[in-house]
Amino acid sequence: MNKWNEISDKKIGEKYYLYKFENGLTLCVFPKKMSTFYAVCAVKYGANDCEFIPMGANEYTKPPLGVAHFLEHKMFDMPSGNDAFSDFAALGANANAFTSSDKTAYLFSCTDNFYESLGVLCNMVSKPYFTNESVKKEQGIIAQEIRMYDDSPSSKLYRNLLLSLYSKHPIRKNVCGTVNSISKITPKILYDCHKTFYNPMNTVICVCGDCDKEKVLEIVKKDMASLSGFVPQRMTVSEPKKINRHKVEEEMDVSLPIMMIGLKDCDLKATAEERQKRCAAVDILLNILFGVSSHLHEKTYTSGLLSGNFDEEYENSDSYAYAAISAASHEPEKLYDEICAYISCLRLDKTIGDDEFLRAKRAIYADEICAYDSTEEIANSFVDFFFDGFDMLKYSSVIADVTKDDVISLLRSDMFCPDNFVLSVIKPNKK
Amino acid sequence: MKTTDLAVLQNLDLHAITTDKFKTNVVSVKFIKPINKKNASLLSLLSRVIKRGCEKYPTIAALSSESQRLYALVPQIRTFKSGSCLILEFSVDYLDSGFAPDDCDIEGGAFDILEQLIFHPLLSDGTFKEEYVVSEKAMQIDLIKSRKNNKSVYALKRMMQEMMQNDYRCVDALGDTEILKDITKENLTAAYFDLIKNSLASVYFVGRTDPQVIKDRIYKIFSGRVPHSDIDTGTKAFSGTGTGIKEITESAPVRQGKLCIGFTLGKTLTDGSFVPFDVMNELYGGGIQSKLFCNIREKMSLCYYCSSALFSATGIMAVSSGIECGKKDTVCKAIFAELEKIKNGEFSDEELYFAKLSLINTVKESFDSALALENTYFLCNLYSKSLDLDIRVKNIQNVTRNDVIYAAKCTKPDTVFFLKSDGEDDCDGNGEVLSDEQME
Repeated sequence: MNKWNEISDKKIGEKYYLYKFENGLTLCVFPKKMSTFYAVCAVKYGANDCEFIPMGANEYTKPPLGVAHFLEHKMFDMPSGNDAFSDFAALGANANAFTSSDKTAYLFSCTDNFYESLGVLCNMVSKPYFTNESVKKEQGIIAQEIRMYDDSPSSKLYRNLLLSLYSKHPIRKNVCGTVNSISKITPKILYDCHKTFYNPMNTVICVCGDCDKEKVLEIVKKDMASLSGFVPQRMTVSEPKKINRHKVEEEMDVSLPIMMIGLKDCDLKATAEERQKRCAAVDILLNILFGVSSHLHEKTYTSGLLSGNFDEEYENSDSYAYAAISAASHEPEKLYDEICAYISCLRLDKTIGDDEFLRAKRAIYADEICAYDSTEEIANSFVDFFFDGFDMLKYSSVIADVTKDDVISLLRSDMFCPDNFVLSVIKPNKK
Repeated sequence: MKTTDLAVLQNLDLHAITTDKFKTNVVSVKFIKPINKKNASLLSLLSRVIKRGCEKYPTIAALSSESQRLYALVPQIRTFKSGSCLILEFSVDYLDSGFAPDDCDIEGGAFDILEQLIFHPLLSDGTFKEEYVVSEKAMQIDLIKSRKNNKSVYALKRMMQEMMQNDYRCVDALGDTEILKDITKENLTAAYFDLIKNSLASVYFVGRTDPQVIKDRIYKIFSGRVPHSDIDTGTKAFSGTGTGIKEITESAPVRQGKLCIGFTLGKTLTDGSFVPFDVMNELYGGGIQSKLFCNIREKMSLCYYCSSALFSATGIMAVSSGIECGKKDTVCKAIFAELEKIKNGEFSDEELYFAKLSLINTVKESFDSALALENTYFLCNLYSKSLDLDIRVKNIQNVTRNDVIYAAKCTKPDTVFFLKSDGEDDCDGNGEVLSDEQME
């Protein structure tokens, strides 16, 4: 398009501007009258991209586990010998980065010197600089990060759940890798991965705040317009519909058992519209089943079986999807049985009440609208919707369009059949 | 953004921030009681039992259903502490009616729920229901015990406990498990009536609604039932354990050691000259520009995280880091060395400028969240500080190099707490036996 495209929604009172560069880079400017500016540069490269054809090569390669995350740490090193953290700090900006299964994101928030900070972000992401010495140094830091997660029961609970839900999909891979795998990472591996994935066709930049879009464009152009685009070729894996195992249990130093139930969603949707519709319907159904106003919550909480509340989430992409429900209970197996029995009963006999459907829908709708109160949430949310190929402003309408029949048919689908559930438990050490 | 302070009734003020920045509004009522273990245990349990049911919404499900109907407004009751004060807060965070796709009266519903929670708890024969008290007690004890699940948080908590062992403010806002066990429905009910009669109350609002409208709503709720108490909300600096540096080491099944060091400052935020301590902390371990991050993590590769934080109402600074167990002495030495550098003036003007910028950024960002803004306004009023952004920024800008050196010199190491591996888990990265595929 090579010009600004305005996207707006009067109902929620928000708009944003998109600019598509010739090399494939997408820039989003989301105006927001707040003191805080937030910018994120996201690359569609995460722990799932563990086997791919590097740019300029013909064959698949499989670098050591944790390389996307390692690269995220090392991108802060600049050819000048400085690190980008210092450059951000000199501008009063608070910078950070994270790597997930699907993406790597570099971000900063600030209240002054926004345009200069944006310049640092673009410069940093486009100019890799790795040396043997700096790679070796980072191995020590990341080893401590890995150990920190090793000591986290909630992190272990989640990892075990994914390992049980999936048997082949790379979502099984640990984002940080292992102390052993990261010791094999070299500057060459990092350069190859950067060249393959950190290119404009695989990148999006979103800024949110009280800024001038033309000035933003000028800054982004400086470092990013001359880069060439490339579509990385990733190895796809065929994941069986069956879960890997029904139950996984581990002991750690916890005060009472914590548990997570996984629901593998094998009905993967081909289009973003379908995926978002499913996401809204699943969120509504999870709220009806596990929310604080649900019959299940009332029953298990008052009987003392559930300690605290359920926490539910749904993740979906074009290659994997699952829901995860977490809780704490002195009797996790008994709570699990109650949940399975309750859902089986609902699937067979009952329907969903108009009131509970409407309430859950309102709750999900309000959550979506409230997210527009934060520049950080807006920009991060934009990136997720963008990588999925969807306009974020349309999502509130998607929620509004979900019908009770959609939710009932979802409840009766394979995803909500307790035979396919996975239970992950962390129990207190016996000693 | 406009602040308005209105007297609603005698001994009850409304502090409102009117802004159209947010799509949500937040209203809160805060009751202040003096800090002690008994009050913390009673109020923390009270906050749970009240949420179990009120006259109009007698169950959790009934209250939650009404909240969801009102576009998922969030009623919260929480206990927290600040200096000498223990605060029980009732708040409702709700979508502004202008953003609902229908004509649902969200604000009316929000204030109705607020009144129900504060003045119409569910009582049976004049006391809270036995069943609710017993089960919430068990859950509160579970919650306190679950702290050990997060070893970094646990280590910090233990360090503070050891450091402030003999101070009257050494109180866990979640309560004390032994005291909780002895609470009955009778003494919990007595604590409730004492709260609504004998405490210091104030109301805060952030959102789009005219403060006069909020004042009228609050008037209707509190007319004839405003609590009052003469509580000293002042605070003084924790003076230290007074026995040199206290060292505590505990063992747990961890793969990474958690090191926490507590320092006394000799001053609190109520002292006129506290801002230099904020700047000193920022320079020392407050962010990515800090000496701890740049040297202990980036240059020496000794950890993934190493940072410092101020507990400004008690005058304490705490450093936290996750490290290899065998390197405790090296890291401790390095952490102390970085503070010595500040005391000796070994920091550039540039470093000082970066620290100030970072602090100013944090202050400004807090104005972009309704909840953070409401909380900041409360603390400013509690300690007679100005909320005015320009004044706060200017105070930071005016801090000099000598002010920071002086603040660092006042900062004295007091307690070192180390949570090390009990030996069964590999803490030093030597015994990796699983393959990458096994570990994934």
